[in-house]
This record gives sequence, C-alpha cells and structure tokens, in this order.
Amino acid sequence: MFKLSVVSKISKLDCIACSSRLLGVLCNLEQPALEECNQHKTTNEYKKGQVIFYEGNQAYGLYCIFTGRVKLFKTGVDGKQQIVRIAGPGDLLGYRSLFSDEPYSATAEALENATICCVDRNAFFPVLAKNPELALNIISKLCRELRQAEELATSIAQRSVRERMAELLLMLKEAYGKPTKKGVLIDLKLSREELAEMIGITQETAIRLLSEFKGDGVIEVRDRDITIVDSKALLETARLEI
Amino acid sequence: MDFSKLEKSWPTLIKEGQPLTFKKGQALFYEGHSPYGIFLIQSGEVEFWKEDGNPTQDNHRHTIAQGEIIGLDVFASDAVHCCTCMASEDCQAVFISKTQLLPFFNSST
Repeated sequence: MFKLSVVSKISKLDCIACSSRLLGVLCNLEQPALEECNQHKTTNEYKKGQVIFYEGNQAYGLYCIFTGRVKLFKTGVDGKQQIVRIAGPGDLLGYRSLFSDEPYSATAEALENATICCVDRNAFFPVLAKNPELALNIISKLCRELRQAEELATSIAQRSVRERMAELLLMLKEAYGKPTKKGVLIDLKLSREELAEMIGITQETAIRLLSEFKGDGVIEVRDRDITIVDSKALLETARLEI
Repeated sequence: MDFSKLEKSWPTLIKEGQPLTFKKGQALFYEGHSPYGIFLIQSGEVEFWKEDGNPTQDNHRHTIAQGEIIGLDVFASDAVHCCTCMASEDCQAVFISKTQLLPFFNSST
C-alpha cells in the first residue's frame, strides 16, 4: 500500500458567498438550497491541462467553475479534437450528461489553472426538484447552447475557413475582450491548434489565416495574445451584421 | 468508521456506483485533490505519480488486482490525494461517491 502524506486542503468555498455563482444558472438559488450544495460539495484546484472528466464516462457530479476557464472537446475516431465549448466562472460542466443519464459527450480540460466545485449527483437532484427556477435557468442555458451548436454546424457547412476564423475572433472578442490602447485584446490564451479545433480547420490553416489577418492590419498577434485592431474589417470578412 | 457495516453494504454500493472507463494515460485523480469518492478497480492497471514527475518512492507502479479499492484511506482520513493516479493501461472502475460513503463515516461519531 502507498503511504499517505497529509497535504493541506484548499479551503472549501461557500456557495452562499460565491461571487461566480451570480454569473451562472445557480444565481437565484436561495440559502437552504445553497447550504445543501455546500454540504455535498468538494472543491479542487485543477492545473492547466488537467482533466475534470472524460468523454464516455458516467457523470458522478455537477461541476461549477469558480475561477479559470475550461475547454470541452470531443475526440474523433482519428484522434482529432473538436472544441465544442469554452466555459468560465459561474458555468456548469457536465449537466447535460447528468440530467440525461448518458455518458459525457465531451472531455473537460482546464485551459488555465481553475478552481472547480463538484456537487454530488445524489445531492443535486433533490435541490433541483425543490427549485423550479433553477430548472428553468438550466433549460434556458441548454437552449442557448443548442442554438450555438446549430450555428456552429451551419457555419462549418456553409462558411469559408476565412469567414469562420473572422467569426471566431469576433465571438472571442465579445466573450473575453479586454480594451487596450491598440484595440481589444482577447483575454484567453489559446494555442493555434485550439483555435483550429474550435472551427473545424487544421492548425496550418489557422496559422495561415491569422498571418493574413495580421498582414491586413486587422489583428495584432504576440505569442498567444491576439488583439483585434479592426473589428469592422472582421465583421465584413465574416459577413456578419452589427 | 464502521468498516463492518461498510463491508455488508458493499454490494449495494457497487450496484449504485458509477461504472467508469479510463483509457491508458487518463487520470483517475490528481495529487492535492480532495477525493470525490473512491474507486473500485475491476480491470486494468494504474500508476501513481508525484507532482514533480517522479514516480512515488515506495513503488511507483502498482498493479491493481481486481476488486482493489483506491482512495478509501484518503477519504477516511479526510486528507487529499498524495499522488496522481493514472491508468497505465485501459482500466475499468466503479466510482462510489462521497455522498454514498458519508453515512458510514458519520455513524462512528
């Protein structure tokens, strides 16, 4: 047997005082429900690259992100990854599988160091049953995700790779944009490969497109930092209306 | 901690547990993490690694026999995992959650 060494636990986060909770579907939960979640919750810090759960496994809890960002990706038969969603503070992970009692349809991996709480599935269902507003929030969230998935499917089928990259950069700007002197910095460090995996293109194509946008003065690129300099040009490229 | 009670309830716990499959290289849990529950290994093999990338000094590669449990000692001592556990070959396990286990731990207090 392995010897145990006692390593200090990270302090358990309090759902009632959690600032990230207010950003997500748990925002309206009242104190008794939050106390119930608190009792059956485990908080862990995931380092960048660590996996929260794997595609194909059964869900044993509901994950809620306190800090950090997580990518959810599916792996094809050829081993190629497709990023289906990026989740951040306040977002829930794995709830579709939990509710449908089906295996996870994607793997969740920390894109950066992340603090994540996991509420045991056996404890969460009674909370859901007693809180119809939470159920409605989750339905609303599911509908938004379904719409986004439909939009991505349409985009992959109908748009050129250049349009898709422009659309992705605009989407990232909206979600993670941080104004700077030069423009809007996408405050999310994604590799070229990850950018490619978000829109179903190869890494080489992603590198070429970013280089073209840079050459056109539409974006500035420094390592993994991308700054949108000319949003209007990107909108035109993506054939999107303001 | 009432181990005899836990032993008697073991078949029910396994039945209610979550069957999980880990492919080679996938992590069951990470060093420094509080356990979400325990794992009953049904087939395959797992390795234990320390954060610095070195195998644990005692015996870095431990072949888990069918029916062996991982994490009960950590759970019982309310500690965190002292090393990362990864599947060194495809591995099947049953996960028994914290909520399922807690009644057995609370009964001793």
